[in-house]
Amino acid sequence: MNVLEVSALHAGYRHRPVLRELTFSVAPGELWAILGPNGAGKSTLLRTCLGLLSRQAGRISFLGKAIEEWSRRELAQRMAWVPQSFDSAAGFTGLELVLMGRSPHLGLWGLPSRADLDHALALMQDLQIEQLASRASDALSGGERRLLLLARALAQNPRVLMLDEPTAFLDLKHQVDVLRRIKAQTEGGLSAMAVVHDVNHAMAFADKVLLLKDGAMLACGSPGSTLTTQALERLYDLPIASADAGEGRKFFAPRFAQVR
Amino acid sequence: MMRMEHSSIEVPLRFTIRRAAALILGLAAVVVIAFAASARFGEQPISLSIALADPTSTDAAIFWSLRLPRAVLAIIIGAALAASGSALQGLMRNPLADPFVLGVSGGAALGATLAIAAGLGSAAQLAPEPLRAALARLSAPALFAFAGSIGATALVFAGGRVQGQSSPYALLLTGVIFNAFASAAITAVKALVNPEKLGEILYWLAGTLGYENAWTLALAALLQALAIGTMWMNAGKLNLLMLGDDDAASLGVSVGPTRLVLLLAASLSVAGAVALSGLIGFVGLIVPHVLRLWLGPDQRLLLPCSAFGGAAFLALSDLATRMLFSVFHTELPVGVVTALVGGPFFLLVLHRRRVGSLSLSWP
Repeated sequence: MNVLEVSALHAGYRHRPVLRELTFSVAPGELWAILGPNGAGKSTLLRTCLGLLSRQAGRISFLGKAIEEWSRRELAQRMAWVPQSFDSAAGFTGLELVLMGRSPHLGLWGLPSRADLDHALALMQDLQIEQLASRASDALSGGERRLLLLARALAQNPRVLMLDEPTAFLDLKHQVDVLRRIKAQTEGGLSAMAVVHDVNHAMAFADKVLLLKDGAMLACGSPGSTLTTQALERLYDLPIASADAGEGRKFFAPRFAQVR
Repeated sequence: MMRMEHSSIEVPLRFTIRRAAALILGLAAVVVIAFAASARFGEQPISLSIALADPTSTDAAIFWSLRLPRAVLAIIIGAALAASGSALQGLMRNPLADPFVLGVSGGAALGATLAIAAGLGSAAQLAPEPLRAALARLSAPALFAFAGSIGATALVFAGGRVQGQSSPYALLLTGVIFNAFASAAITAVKALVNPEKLGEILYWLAGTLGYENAWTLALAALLQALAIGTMWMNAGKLNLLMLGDDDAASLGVSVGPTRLVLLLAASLSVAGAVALSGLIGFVGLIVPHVLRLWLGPDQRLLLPCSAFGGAAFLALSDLATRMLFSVFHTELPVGVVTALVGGPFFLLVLHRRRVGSLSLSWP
């Protein structure tokens, strides 16, 4: 059974429809990369699938049930979001933030058990951010915040992970680290949809790619067959060159000479 | 890099049941001491043994009908203002939010001003014959202030809805605008009334603790227990709301209903407080702030601690009002003292806070 099935989806804001006629389905253990220019509707797509934004038409089915039939809490136990950032002014510590990921599984007050605590700390160790446990979130770098948000999402024990630019604000090593960790999670059965801007990341890590332009699907499929220079040139309106990156993969870059 | 084994490190959790219980018990003890001091001492020295032994003595009259009710009122009002201030600062995601931010102060002040200007002393003057006896002990300015703040809150809620959703910023802005409007209306009324009523209005606006009867105090205590209890019950969700609406929703919070419940509880709490005391400023702003610097932002801890801290702060401020100015044979409104003491103290605390450092040495 597919984890997520989206059919003929139209969504957006009251006076500004964004997404048009999107149809795709995500299977268990798949890592999807959503690529497209700024304003193409990538974040809108994630937020609509998360039920944060209501649909204008079409259907989203999650684990065999229409998205609107899930309660917020039930959804949060199965689907997690890694936003671009959060209001860090509140001043919670890293551990407090990660533990908030356990709250959909806990009672009214969100009191963690020893097991919840160990789970959160293990996730932080795994992401090598255990030193942030007692640090206030308003004293963190953008990259550290991003890793905390990833740990928080994993603490939810979700079936699907929605990631809005998971590698933004991260240095090259941490970009690859984070993508590896997400990949390892999907190999364990978790499904993930990630908005990414780096075509080569999508090429290296994704099982499926979705090219989104002006709210409509330009192409969708395996990276090897979908990510071609022609498709990317159409997607970004930019001349693009490719080279062999080894391991049977291609490497893409804008043709700077022609851009100038 | 040194790897920590998490089973052996001390887990830096600021909210645990044990710590919360210890802090709340400690602060409750402070409230008891403040309450006892506020009930015991005043401008007129009294003997407790005489007051308790001889119910017909002057000391007993002062203790039972003046000191005690006033100390109880200080506890109730202080707890209400500080707890709702803490909740509203979280809900608005704005450290400058205080209990009066949602138009409550403007509505209450306008209501009370109109009641005083109209010469209404008791609510019974407005009631039909059968209800008069029951309402005889309810003051008309208090009733009007309560109605005014509830009306203002309803208006601000309606005005603060953007595309069918209540946004913190729209609420904040509508509240500020309503308060400005109410302030202009009050100025107009002040210009029209006689000097005696003007004095009464000014005294009410400055925030004073008076002498309420046991029936009113019990009602106020019940209202605050319900309102503060509701806020505390939802404090875990409030923590998530402080991160942002979408964050909270993705973590399982039904954002709209939760925010509505919290806003209503906070507004009811503030309305119940201002009706009896007028506008006592600073308590709802600085008590949660100072406690947040000490305890962290977790509302499960901050909200009840603010209630106790606010109660103690207001009881002691009221004691100071009665003691310090007795040489002038007058009594300042307690709102003036909370601002005079609270303002500089708050600046001092902020100044001494080291940015980015977080005390992890908790009791």
